[in-house]
Amino acid sequence: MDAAEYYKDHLKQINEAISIICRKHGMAYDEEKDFAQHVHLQLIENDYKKLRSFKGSSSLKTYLYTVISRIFIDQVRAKWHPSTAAKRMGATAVELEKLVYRNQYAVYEACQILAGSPSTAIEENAAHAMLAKLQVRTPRLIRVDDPETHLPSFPDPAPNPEKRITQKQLQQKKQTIVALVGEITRSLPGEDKLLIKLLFISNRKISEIARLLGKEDRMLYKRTQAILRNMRAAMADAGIGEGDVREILDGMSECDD
Amino acid sequence: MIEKNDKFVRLNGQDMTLGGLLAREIPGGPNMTDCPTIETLSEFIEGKLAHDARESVVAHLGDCELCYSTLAESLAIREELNNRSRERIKKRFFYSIPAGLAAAAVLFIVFKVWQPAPERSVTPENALAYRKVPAEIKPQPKPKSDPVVAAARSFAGELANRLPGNGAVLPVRITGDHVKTQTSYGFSSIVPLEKAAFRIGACLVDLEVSLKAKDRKKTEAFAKKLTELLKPIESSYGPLSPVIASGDAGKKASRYEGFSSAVEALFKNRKESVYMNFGSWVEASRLAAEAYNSAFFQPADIKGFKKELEQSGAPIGTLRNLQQFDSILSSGRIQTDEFTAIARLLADIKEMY
Repeated sequence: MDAAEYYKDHLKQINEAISIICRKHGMAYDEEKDFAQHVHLQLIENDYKKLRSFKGSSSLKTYLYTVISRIFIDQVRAKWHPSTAAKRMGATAVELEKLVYRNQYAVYEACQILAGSPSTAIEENAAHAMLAKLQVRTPRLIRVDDPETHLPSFPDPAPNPEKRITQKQLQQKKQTIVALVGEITRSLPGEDKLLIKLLFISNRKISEIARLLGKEDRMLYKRTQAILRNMRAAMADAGIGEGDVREILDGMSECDD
Repeated sequence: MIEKNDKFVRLNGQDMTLGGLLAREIPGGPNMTDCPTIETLSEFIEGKLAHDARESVVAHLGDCELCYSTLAESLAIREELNNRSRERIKKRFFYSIPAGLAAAAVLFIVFKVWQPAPERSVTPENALAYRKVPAEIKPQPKPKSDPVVAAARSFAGELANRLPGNGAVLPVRITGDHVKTQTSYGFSSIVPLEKAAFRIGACLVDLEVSLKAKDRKKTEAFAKKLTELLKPIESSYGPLSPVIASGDAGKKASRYEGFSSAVEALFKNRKESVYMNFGSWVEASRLAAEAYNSAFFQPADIKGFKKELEQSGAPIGTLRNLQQFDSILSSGRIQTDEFTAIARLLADIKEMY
């Protein structure tokens, strides 16, 4: 069977996969149509190159789903480009915009990341001021399962002094936590990083992750508990108690809401 | 409290938030150049990668945001499609069972409750259409070790020497008052003895086969059946009374063997003996056909029975079936299909009695 026949035979599965991705990311009808067209073009172009490169070591369906997923991710990445205003304001503005609007980081988190490089380091207040000048952009990648948590964050242009003091105290604790978490994540092996991402970002079941990683469910469960335990212990060592963690976490939840 | 329910994971809301924070802080890393191919990722998803290759892909996925996102999307698509297919199956069952029951009910009403009135005139041409046609017998090749099949084969060979054909004389004497013209298409209630004789003959074969197979349960069942069949004629056949009395209670094989020979002796020189012999022959032939043993089939036997049965006023259906059996044997080709046809014809005859 040649690539064209594969394509024709699996047209139903291709369209189903496209509709799943579009629904998951809350695409509008026109966007969905564009994306479907883009996927079909990608699959057909260069005489079905993507299908011809299939060697048969996995099932064709899974291969097709992975190809379509990659096309989607590439499209999302390709579509993102910094605004003209950010470009005019310089590299720091471009990076800040990217972190806040594309990668969905909170402003303080973006500042933490930018502090890693002296050329882009920026104070949080300055970041707020900078973002106020940038046009608010809705990130393309929206999860519709809990849309409220992913609404674009509008930076508070002028918080009142009392709130500012409380926020500063909270911010210091948050900074400690972010630094700690950063340290922990850097020390994690690749397998643990994948485990944490699959478990807490993609919401995969532990049994499914175990099958992917070729490990036992119980072992992964123990590993997850150990990572979280280490995280709590590191926070306790840094003088952050259980109550502080709860307060910070609640504060973070409020911020998210 | 948020709970992530899985086989082992019971994470509370705080765990989920901590885990979420941890996951979000895992650096995406720059675009990597040594990304696995799409097909390798697909193999990873399906768990088809070898240990080393899998470890390498896992390490890469931990750091490469592009590959991780691709994996996550692909897993989500697979999960969604699996859910949809499960839903489809559920729906299919949900709707198909009541629909099937409704269809069955309609069919039942059509075929059982509502029946068209039968045609009034029955002619030899349409008589077969009125006859109850038994379900088609499909002889299945049975394993050689099956004792019943082995016994049936051996019995078929033995019986060939006892029955007409092969130079033997049919041990019946037809009296003049029982000779009728062939106008009946089935036995009427006034001739129960012929029917009983046929069934006794068939049952004797079954008894003998089960005895040879040493199948005690079946032997007892056939002996019981035989006893029941003999009861209505017990008064007419006094010499059999002690055998009947002990037959169903007897536990030894020798008792049953005696039973068989006593019944044969009982029918000797009686007009019904042709039916008893015919019953034995039909059952033995049917067993032979089901065991794919053509050695038992002799055209002379068929001709002999046909002639005697014609004179004794046997149902015309019996004679037609015998005629068809004779035609199959005359064709000289007996393969699986022919064995099936013969078994069906003989089972059809049994149904008439």
